[in-house]
Amino acid sequence: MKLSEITLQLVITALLLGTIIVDMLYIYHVGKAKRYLAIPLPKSIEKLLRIHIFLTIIFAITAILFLLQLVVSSGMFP
Amino acid sequence: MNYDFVFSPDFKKRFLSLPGEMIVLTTRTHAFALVMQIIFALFIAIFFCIISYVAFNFIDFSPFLLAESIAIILLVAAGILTKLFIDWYFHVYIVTTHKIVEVFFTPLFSHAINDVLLDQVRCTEVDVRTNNFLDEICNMGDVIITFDRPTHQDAFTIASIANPDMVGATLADALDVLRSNTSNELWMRNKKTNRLQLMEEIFPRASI
Repeated sequence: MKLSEITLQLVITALLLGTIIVDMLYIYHVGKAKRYLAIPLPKSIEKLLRIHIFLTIIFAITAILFLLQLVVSSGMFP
Repeated sequence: MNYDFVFSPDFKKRFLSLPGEMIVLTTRTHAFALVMQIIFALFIAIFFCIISYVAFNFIDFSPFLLAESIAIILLVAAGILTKLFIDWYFHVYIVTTHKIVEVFFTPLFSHAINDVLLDQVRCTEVDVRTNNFLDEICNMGDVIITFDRPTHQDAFTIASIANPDMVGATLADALDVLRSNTSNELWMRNKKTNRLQLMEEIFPRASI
């Protein structure tokens, strides 16, 4: 059971890290589109994008800590 | 929706290429189309939350993992909703006295810019169409402009916009005025100066 929990936690952590990379790329490309078209985005949407990436980073850190805790408590590495 | 950006010098510099060219109309897809997509995405997110809740009830995993899974589903859903809005926001139709431009940007995925130079085509029809009951209620519809090109007939569709009747009438008027004002001028980009010039300026009639 512990091993499958660790595997699931590993998948979740990888997903969160992937989301951070995609978010960063997305924000960069939105900025590029904004400059190219000279159409400014509403402030609320820019804030939403920043909040989204901030929350993802927080969740990713929590997930990494939880993964470490699972690995340590499993007794695989005495 | 606010279209104040059309007055910004950067926007004019980007989309107005000829001297004296003016913006006639700027429009987007109706917000109702966006709302339908958002509702659909929310339903999918709720469905996945329920699925993960039920799955975790069958497996004896820590509740923290369930919370994390639901958090991820909600985060991804929030990302998708933001993407839907930004895609909708960057899909703009711009009509100027010289051209019709459709700009469709989905940052990080794709982009398309379709131009129709009005002095190179002959506009034969401006049709307005609403497709169903919901379109009629929300005052949403398509404006189809048929162009007679030298080689074939082509239709430019301004799809799912608000106030299609008003937009269609404005477009028909603008195209009519343009047709009566347009002479047989031909613009060319001068390769040396990289500036648009009349054909006659580059090759004066006297020299031919």
